[in-house]
This record gives sequence, structure tokens and C-alpha cells, in this order.
Amino acid sequence: MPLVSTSPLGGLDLAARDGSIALREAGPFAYLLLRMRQGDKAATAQALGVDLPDPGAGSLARPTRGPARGGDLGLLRCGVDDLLIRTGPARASAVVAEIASALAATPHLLVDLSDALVTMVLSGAAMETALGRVTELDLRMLVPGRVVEATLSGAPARLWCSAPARLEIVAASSDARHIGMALAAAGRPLGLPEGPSEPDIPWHPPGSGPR
Amino acid sequence: MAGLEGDTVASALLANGERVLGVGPRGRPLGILDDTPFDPGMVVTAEGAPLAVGRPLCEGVALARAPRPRPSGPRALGLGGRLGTALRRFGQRPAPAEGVPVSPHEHAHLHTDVLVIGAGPAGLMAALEAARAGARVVLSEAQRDVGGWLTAVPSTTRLDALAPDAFIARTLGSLRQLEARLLLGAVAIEGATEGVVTLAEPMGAAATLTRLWHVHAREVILATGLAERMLAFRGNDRPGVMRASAVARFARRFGVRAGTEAVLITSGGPADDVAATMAEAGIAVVATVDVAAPRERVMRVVGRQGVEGVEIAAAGRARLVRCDLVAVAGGVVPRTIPGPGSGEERGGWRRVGGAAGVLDLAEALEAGAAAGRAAASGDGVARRISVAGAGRCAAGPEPAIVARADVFLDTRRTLTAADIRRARDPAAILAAAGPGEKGLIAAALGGRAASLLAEAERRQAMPLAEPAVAPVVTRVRRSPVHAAHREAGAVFEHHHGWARPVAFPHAGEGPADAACREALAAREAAALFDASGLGRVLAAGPSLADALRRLSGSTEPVDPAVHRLLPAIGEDGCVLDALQLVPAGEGVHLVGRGPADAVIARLIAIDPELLVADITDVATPFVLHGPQSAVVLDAVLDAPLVEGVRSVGRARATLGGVDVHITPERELGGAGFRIDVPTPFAAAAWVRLANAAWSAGGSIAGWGAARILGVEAGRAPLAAATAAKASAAELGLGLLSSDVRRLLVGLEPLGAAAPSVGARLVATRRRAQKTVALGEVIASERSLFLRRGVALALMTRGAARMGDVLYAVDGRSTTAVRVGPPSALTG
Repeated sequence: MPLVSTSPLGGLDLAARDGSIALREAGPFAYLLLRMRQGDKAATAQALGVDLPDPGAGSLARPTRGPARGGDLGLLRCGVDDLLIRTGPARASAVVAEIASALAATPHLLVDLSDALVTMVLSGAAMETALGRVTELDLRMLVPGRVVEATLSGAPARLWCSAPARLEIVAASSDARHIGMALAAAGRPLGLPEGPSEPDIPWHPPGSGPR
Repeated sequence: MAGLEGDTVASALLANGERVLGVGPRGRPLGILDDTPFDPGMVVTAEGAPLAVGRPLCEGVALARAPRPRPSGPRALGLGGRLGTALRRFGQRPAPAEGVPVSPHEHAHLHTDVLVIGAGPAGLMAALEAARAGARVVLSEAQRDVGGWLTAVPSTTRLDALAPDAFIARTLGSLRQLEARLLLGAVAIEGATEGVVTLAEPMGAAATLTRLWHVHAREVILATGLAERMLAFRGNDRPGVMRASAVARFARRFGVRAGTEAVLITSGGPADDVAATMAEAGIAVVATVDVAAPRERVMRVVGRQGVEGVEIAAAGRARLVRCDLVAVAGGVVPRTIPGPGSGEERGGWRRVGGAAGVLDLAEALEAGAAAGRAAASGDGVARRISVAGAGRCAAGPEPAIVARADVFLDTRRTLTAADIRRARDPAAILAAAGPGEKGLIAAALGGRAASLLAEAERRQAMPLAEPAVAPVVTRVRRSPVHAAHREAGAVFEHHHGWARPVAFPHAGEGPADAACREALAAREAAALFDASGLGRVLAAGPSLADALRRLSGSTEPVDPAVHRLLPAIGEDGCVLDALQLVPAGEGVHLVGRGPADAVIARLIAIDPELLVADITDVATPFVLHGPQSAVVLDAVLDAPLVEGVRSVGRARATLGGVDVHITPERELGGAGFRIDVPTPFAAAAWVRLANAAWSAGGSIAGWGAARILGVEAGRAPLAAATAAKASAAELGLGLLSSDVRRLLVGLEPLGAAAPSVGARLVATRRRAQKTVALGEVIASERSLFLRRGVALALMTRGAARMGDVLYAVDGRSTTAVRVGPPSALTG
């Protein structure tokens, strides 16, 4: 019997009736993390078939050439040497092969994080109000096209403002449920229906470990 | 009785002639002193919780008189009757649903160019001019209304030819047009760090929830205004004794008369503003006493449940003046907010208006406007507002303090001069005192006041206690198997942010017994552990070998192509983590016992050119341990592992059509495997592995069992390294030289009791507490497999003491132990 895959967000899909805010799980996506040197930017762009965004920016393209041609290719560049490539799961291995080939001569690190990352989309006019309850990030930074790393309710995440009033949140799988619950709770007063929740975790008192 | 929309609880009560809020800590009736929304000394009970009477009156909240804070039986005065008849018309609030977690704080972050704290005259002008200059402005005000001092001045006062209310309305309108953000009812509780100010806004009708605004501002303008000083006289706690400014504001803001005939008590100056406002409201000032004048003083307030009169001594003659209100105008002192730098040196903050000690209204308005423009990078020059008909009186000298049981020095009306003189920590009282109370309390302390005030300033400058500003929720990382663990009845521990199962107790079984049972299953059959909390790092780069050598603190080269154990040594030379190095292509996987962040930071510090990534969540590691572990593994894999693969390196296999990696695991002593499953498939894989383990007579197990197995096998807990700051060599982690393990020893208790962690090891039982320690117990467990306790210790010359009997001594007991090798399994 084949194993069945599950998501920590369980297909999260919440939207306020008035359309002012929505929180949804997106994907599945393949995510590839590429750590490279600044000088390898041109070779990477050549391999991918699209220009790379500047550090701190993200882009969504439909390349006409390269391994991801015909499909959406998201590029989230959090730093000079840090590029997160998002593509469809079916195209991931082709993208990996193309980049590995293009950068074969230079040191780089290409990691398939598809199984490690989860995507949520927070959207709507009230998005910022909800977000302000879970992060201390200056929300003025979130202009369309911008990518920032921030903590949401204490958990790290990459935030990509992919369009006006639309924020894509890419978080580690182990943090996704925590962030999803925090955002759902922050959006409740704004009209989001009840979201994922969990009864209090039965913590073992610290220092009283089994002896 | 009725309340009106916009009323506070206090104004509604006063309007209905209710003056007694409850019973104070001294068993005396407690009245309304002020109109502040956050004074803990003026509360009623709303839905069972204390509610400050300055809070807005809300529909649906039943109120009762506040019970005495520390009831002492016979002295209670029986004033706990409900005020419900007065306010029940507002109906009943539905009880919160059961099982809904209620958090006392909700957090919100705001970013702005200019934060103005206080919406009195100076604050309003500062916010307006900053917004006009193009800055983004947040204006916060502790009261539900803006205006501050302007709400207490007589309505005949003119500002730019406008009455005070019209001037406030015009300013507010302009601020709204300029999209300034108003936070009303938000009290600045801390100016913590570099431009971040925390404001607390009570929420909900009964204020059971507080929203903490964390305002990140480029510029902060402190316009917190002035606080009215307490005055000490006999009976100054009687219901009907109120601050004069509050009497004026109740009249101006709510149209409520706090009394009909008032005695006005001043200190060193006129109180023309409030007197005029009171007169406008129809409150007759029947007498004025200036306690700073040479021959005037208040003898006592007459009345038990409320003010009935005041005995005054003037020019050597005493007289009783009948009244129902005592308005105290003790002079004003600047108000500030707690937090680092709350004194004069608060870097970069602009104080304006009353907070800067300005008593002239026109001057306050002008200073506020100039500060607003300057904060917005303007020229700092602003238009002057013409003012007619208002002024305030500064605080005069502190009058003599009488140490009597009915003379109170604080607004809560709990402290007398005798209490303060007897206090063990008077500086703490001073630190907690409001600006209007400090002078009186310092006067009561006499010669000690100056040094204690300095100490109080220092304490006030410290950040608030953690609970006030703690995050609502702590980050909790969940394994993909978390739901299955909960279903299996797991109890969890917080391990570097992860919710990690400690044990899976059966009905009627405690976590400790469950861990022992699970550990026994691992020794006798097989136990399945979820090892999700293990941080994993992928590292690569041309200088990888050298970086690994430096990470481990070794002088010998570290070959990245060889599977081995490796300590991660922090910058301070102490153990950061114990890593498993697993070769992976051109790089290595480093699997730690703690989170990946620390190892990544250390690697980058060693070599910024190194390419590293946190791959903790890519795969979920399970550990299968025990003599039946190979049987269990073969039962779930699509094709059984070749025998040889079990003992060498890392092997790839498939489980339910999904690629998994199998690594031999020896850390817990005996046979075992680590199975890395792609995280999306981990929950399904866990179910199959757990069923197979149960079929083989094994169990699922938590980290309590893993700790027992680790101590049995002589593996020092990582906590001993990171918490006790032991070196890698001391813990035998390094494998750096052949003789390091002599420092880590095993202990076999000779009696029924196991030694406690932290106990000192001594050679003789006699005078054990005073004998030089040979070592320290770092781990101690109960082993069902060995049918005894097992312990580990760090000891000098451990290898030379094998077989010796020593004594483990803690504060309460002495346990005899025999020294042996670290692993209890080898014997």
C-alpha cells in the first residue's frame, strides 16, 4: 500500500464573508534553495531562462525556455546569495539538473526543500491588521514584489507580497500549523471563520522528567 | 438609576449618588478619588473580576462592590452588597464558552514616524504639527477622551477664540483628515528599547483582555502631562474626597456633579481653574484651605461612609465646615512612563507640556507644536495659539506628614506614614508610587528619602516584569506525527521549540513509569521514537573539512567522507551540540541533538564562505531501537534490507513506495536504526512502523525512555554539556584523544535510592558536606532492564577509581555508589 502524504495545514481554507480577509493553504509546490555567489547570478538566470530578481524581491514568471518553460516559476531572493525557486512538483528534477549543470564549475548548494516548506496565502484589505497582530515587522515593507524574512508569532517565515493585498507565507513544515493557528486567531475579529485549533498541549512540567 | 452612553462606571455611579465602591484593605469604605481609567485602587467587581471605575460603562456587565482585598473576618464592614440594582438594566453578558482558551494579552505591532504619548494640549498640538509636516503619526491617550487639561479648564477659556471643546474638536478633525492614528484608552506602560513603546489597551466590557500595542516609532514625544499630588490629612480616604481636577472633569466631560457643597484644599497656590469649573457645574465652594500657608491646616474629615464636613484650623481657631465634597488641589508634578531611561536622560525622546514641567497653557501648546514639527524633520517653529483664562498651580512644599492610621499617602489609600517607615523595602514602594504620591512618601521617609528615591529611579528604569509583555503564544514546532502522539495519550516537553513526547502513559500510569516501561521494551524487543527535534544541517564548500575541524575543536583533520560522531564547540569553548556527521554527495549532513540554528551560526562564523542550509524539516527522523528493530524494519520496507547494509553507513530503501534513508544507530546502546522519511509521508509511515513494533512485542516510546537508554549506555545528556558548561572532552563526546573518557564515569547505586542530579561525589561519608568533591552526578535514571538505578558523573581521575565506593551527597541525603565504566551495559 503506498504511503499517503499529509499537510500540517490540512488544506486550510478560511475566508471572511465580506471578502476582507482570507487565509488559504497553497500548493503543493516544489521549492529549491540555491545558495550561490553573486557572480553566479548570470549563469543561474541563464539556466532558469528568466532574470533573477534583486535581493529582497520576488518575481513570478512563465519562462519560454529552460526546464520550467510553460509553467509558473517563482523566484524569492531573500539575500544576495539566497534564492528560493518555486515551481511545479513535476518540473523540480529538471530544474535541479539544469542548475547543477550550469553551476557545475562553481561552488554552490542546491537543496530540494519541497518536503520541508508549506505555503499559505493571506489576502484581502484587512490583511495588514491581522498581520500586525502576529509580527513586529514594519508592514510598510510589504509592497508588491517584496520578499522579507520575518517571524510570525515567534516562528520564522519568508513573506512574499506577490500582488497588492496578497501575501504568500512560506514556512517550515513544523512551524506551519503554529503560524496558521496564529493567523486564523488574528483574523477572527476581522471576520475569518473558526480555523485550525488544538486543545492545550499536555506539557510535562520542566525539571520533573522521568527519573 | 441610569447611566448614559459615554459614561464611565465612575461617572454613572456619581450621577446616581453612589460613592462607596467597596471596602479598602484597611476595612474602610473606599470612594472615587479620580477619573483615571487604570487606577488599581478604584475598582468594582465586574463578572467576578476587578474593573477600574474609569473604564467605560458597558451594556451587559453586572457590577458589584469590590470585596475587601485581604478580608480578615470580623473586621469586614459588610459593604459587599451588589450595585446590580443600579446597573442591572444593562443586562447580563453571556458566559464565555467552555474550553475556549482565554489569553490575558493580545499583541499588535504598529510602525510610525512619530508617536505622541498623551493627547492633552501639548500632545494634540505635537501630533497635529507632525502630521501637517507629512509624518505618519500615532497619538495615544490613556483616557477614552482626548484633551487632558483642556477638559478641566472653565468653558469660558478661549483658545484661538474657541471654547476648549470646540478647539479639541477642530484639532481632532484635522488629525483625522491627516490620517493620524488615535489609540484611545491605551496606557503607555513601558518605553522599552530603541523607539519601541508598549501601550496597554484594556479590551472587552470587563477589561479581561489587554491588547498590548508595540509601537515602533522613529521619534517619540512624551506629552503625558501632569499628575495631581496627594495631600495627607486625617480621613483623606473618605468617599467624597476627590482630586480637584477630577471633580472638574466629571463636571465638564460627563455633566456630573460630584457634590453640591465643596471644601477646596490647595497647597501653595491658587486653583482658579478648577474652582471656576466647579462653580460652572453648580458646586459651591464653601471654604478654601491652603495647607502650605503658615497657619492653615485640615484637622480631619468628618463622616463615616462619606464626607459630611471638614474640621479646619486657621489663624489658631478650629471650625467645622459642613460639606459633601472635598476637592484636593495638591499642585501638579510631571508625569512620565516607566522603562529604561524614564528619567531625564531618556535618549531621543522629546518631553513637552506638563511632562516637561510647563504650567502655562499657551506655552504648552506652543512647545507641543514645535516638538511635533521638529520630530517630523520640520523646522521646529510653529504657530502660537492665543490662550485666555487658564493657568495651573505648581506643587508647593510638602506639608508635614502626620503618622496616623487614617492619613493615607497613596491613591490606593493603603499606606500610612507608619507603614512606610516600617517597610522592609521602602525603595520598592517609591518605585511603584505614582508621580503624585512620591513626594508624600519621600517626606514620610525623612532623611532616607534621597538615597531611596535614587534607588527607586533605578528600579523604575528596569524593564517591566516578563508576564506583562510576554508573547501571547510561544513558538511550538510540531512533528508531522503530533496528532498521532496526542491520540496515543502522549505528554510533551518543550525541547528547543519543539513539542516532543516524553512518554505515552497508559491509563493510571504516570510519565515516569511509562518511560521505564518503554525503555524496557527497547531493550527486550523494539521501541519506536519520533526524533523530529533533531536539528539537521547540510554543509558544503571547498573549505568544508577545515571548517568541520574547527567546529569540533580538533587538531586532527576531519574527513567529510567518513561517518562519525563530532562535537560542535561554541565560541566559548563549551559544547554546543553533539553531531552525527553523515557524508552526503559533495557535502555532509550534520545531525544534532539540539536545533540547527546554533550550529549554522557557528559554521558561518568559522567560515563565511561555507554554504549551509537548515534541512531539519525535509525529512522526519524516527529511531527504531532494540533487538527486534531489524525485524520491525523488514516488516514495513517494500524490500528487506540486505544484511550487510544494516551495519554500514547509510542505505536507501522504499517504504510504501516512498524513498527513505536508513542509518545504523548506536547512541542508545545495542542495535538500532534511524529512518528518515520525507516529512509529508511521515505520519503514514509512523503508523506502519508503530503497528510493526507492537506486533514484535515492542512499543512506541518518548524521550523519557531515550534518556534512560542513553544513561544505561553511558551517553552523557547534552543538557549537561550546555547547561553545566562542560567541555566536549569531559563528556567523552569528542573522541579527540584516547584518554578523555576517563572523566565520564558510571555509578551503580548500592542501595535502593538513586543519586540525584547535581549531587557531589565524596570519598568518605563522615563530614561529607564539608569534604572536597571529587565529581558531580550529571544524569540519574531508574532502569527496569538492569533492575537498579543508573547514573553518570563527571569525575577527576575517574579511570583510577573504577570499583571504588563513593558517596553522592545532596542537601538532603547521602547515597553510596560504586564507580564503573560509563556504560552500564558493558558489564
